[in-house]
Amino acid sequence: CDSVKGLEEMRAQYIKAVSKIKCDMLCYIRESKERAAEMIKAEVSRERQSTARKMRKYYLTC
Amino acid sequence: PTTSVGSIAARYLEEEELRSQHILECLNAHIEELKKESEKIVKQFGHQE
Repeated sequence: CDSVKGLEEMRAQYIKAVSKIKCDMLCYIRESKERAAEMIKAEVSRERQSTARKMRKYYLTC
Repeated sequence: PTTSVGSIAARYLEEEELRSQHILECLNAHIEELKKESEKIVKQFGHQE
């Protein structure tokens, strides 16, 4: 009966460790995606602004 | 483009490198904890046999 208790404790420890690893990995992946999305968004808006500037300049000189 | 795509990607990857180092440390900590705790259990239940 005691060995069963030991096994159960081992199982609980193992599951706890794996859950923590899964949790950390999910967090890491989510943050990576968010960072990539932010970077793309920032670049697109920068590009948009520079295009708008060029257009303004073009129409003012014409 | 105002900034080259390559340099944006390079900056991203540079930061990603730091982040991957950090998560590796976290995972190692979890493994170490499992090692310690399981050793305790082995000792505790090994003595009773």
